[in-house]
Amino acid sequence: MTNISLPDLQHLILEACDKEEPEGGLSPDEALFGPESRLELDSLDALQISVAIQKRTGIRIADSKETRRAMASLQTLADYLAAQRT
Amino acid sequence: MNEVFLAGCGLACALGKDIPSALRMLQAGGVAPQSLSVGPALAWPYFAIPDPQPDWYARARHLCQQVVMESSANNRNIPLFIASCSLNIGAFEDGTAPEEDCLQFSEMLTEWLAWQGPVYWISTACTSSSNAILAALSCLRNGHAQEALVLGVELINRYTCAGFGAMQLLDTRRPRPLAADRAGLVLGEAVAALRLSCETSPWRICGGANVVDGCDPAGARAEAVSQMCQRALADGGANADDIDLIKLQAAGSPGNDPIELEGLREIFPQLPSLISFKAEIGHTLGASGAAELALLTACIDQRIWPAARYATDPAFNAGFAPRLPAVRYLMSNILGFGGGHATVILEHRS
Amino acid sequence: MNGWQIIGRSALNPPPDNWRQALAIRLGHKPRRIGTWAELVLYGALCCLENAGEFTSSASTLPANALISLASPRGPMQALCDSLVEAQDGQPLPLGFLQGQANQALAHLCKALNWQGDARYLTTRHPLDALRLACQSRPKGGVLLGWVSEDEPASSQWLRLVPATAQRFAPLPATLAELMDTSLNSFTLEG
Repeated sequence: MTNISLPDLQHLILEACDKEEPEGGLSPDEALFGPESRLELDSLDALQISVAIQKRTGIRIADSKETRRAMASLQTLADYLAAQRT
Repeated sequence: MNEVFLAGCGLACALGKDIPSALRMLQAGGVAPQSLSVGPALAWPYFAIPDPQPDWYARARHLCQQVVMESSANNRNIPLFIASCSLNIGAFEDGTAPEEDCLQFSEMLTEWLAWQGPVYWISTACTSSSNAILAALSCLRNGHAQEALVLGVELINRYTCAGFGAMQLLDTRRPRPLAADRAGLVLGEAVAALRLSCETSPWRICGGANVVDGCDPAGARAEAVSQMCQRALADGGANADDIDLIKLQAAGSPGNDPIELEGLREIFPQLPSLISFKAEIGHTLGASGAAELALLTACIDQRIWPAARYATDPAFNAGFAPRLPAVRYLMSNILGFGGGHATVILEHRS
Repeated sequence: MNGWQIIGRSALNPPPDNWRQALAIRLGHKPRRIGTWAELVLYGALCCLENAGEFTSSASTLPANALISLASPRGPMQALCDSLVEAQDGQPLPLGFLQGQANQALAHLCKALNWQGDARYLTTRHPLDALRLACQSRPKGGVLLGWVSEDEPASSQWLRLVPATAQRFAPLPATLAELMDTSLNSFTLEG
């Protein structure tokens, strides 16, 4: 399995979802989904990120509920992936 | 405007290689899906046609020729409407497709069938066959032909199954449409031929509708389902009260199953009898509109009905008809990717 | 008589160099995650409807009872091939999987037009086959017909057709190029 840094994770998300980097970059605790999110990602983006992460790290995010929890922010996603490796 | 009838059907699906064997298997309780490996340590349930042959093209040829023969389409000068969305991907995966030319497959099909009439390939994902029926119906209604053949072809390939898996749309067990614990759909393969004719026969194709809605590229919308029903009833000259039976899309999807019922209830406050064949043959994608209509009309003609194997979700307050209802008018729905919502209405004239 | 008037066309064969920016202006945003072929579909269709006076500033007046008929010899084949390669581990990326399906472009077009109705896709080598089939069904709101190829040089050629009753129309020309000629305003189909 591959370790993945926060900047790498940001790059993976933006590339997978065909999004440009928001001004000043994404902060670790910034929401990725929902009305307050600058990226305005939706459930299809979540699926895309989920498969992109699996291809990169081998870690499979089980279902949509777990996906939403894990992908609340860059930091929660990094924490989730770290926990899966241990 | 000419009246149009369903004059002949042919079907190969997981239940059997022709309609009589499919009905026998349905009566005996159906079949469980097999397992289709799509990648290292990754497999999904899959409803395969019981016709194992190593050569993808030889199998496709045999199945297409056989269902066309079963539909009694003897005139090869009539329009042919091919409906498929997975093309010859299965052959490509086996390394036997010589080049990346998707039209090559429709041209091979035309050659296999020695077809002389005009050929149209309609590819609108899961609604492909339904749209092919609607296109053939227009063609006959408006006097451009007296007979036409719709051929739905969706054959085994790992890619489509892997794609639905990646979209988290698949169940890991036999699918359970409308059940409380439904967890997704299971794909299947089918080849189905519907011969449409202006010559009178018991099943009249009254009309139908296709409504594309762009709000959700991967799912259905209740408002579009209602719109589809309204347009189809208007096109078919029928009222909502006339419909005795609706064959649902209902594939076992946690999201789409309730959306379909919600949309139907706008038009049918008291739902007619309901049926779904997804637990019997799987979701056969581009072939499903033709395959499920062939199976449905055969079930009614032969008075054979699938047994209910499980309880539907009480929250729906709707269940499948436990036995064959009296049917004069039926509606056959297919919903799919790309915001496709399509239905056809048939009248049984005994 | 099965007469048709051509009230709009876009002959982007090939499209201009800045077509992607021009598409973003028409949509009011840069299209995302739909793939090149579907972008070509959107751009050609919007230009055609603009030419017909049925699309301005992200609003469309395409009648609800029109038929959108899209045709192509290969559809989004590049996206499909890329996705097939990506899927070798059993997991295609979801957006790539969707982009490889031609009718996704219809959903994107319906969304861009804020329109809901009958739309279909045909794979064919002959654009006029798609035209004949669409016109044979005689949709009251007419036909928006597209012929789109991403193979170099890319093209996105569209016609907006409405049914007409005049008796002295010329027969349907033999090629799409002749239909795209602005000197032709109408035609009739036999039958």
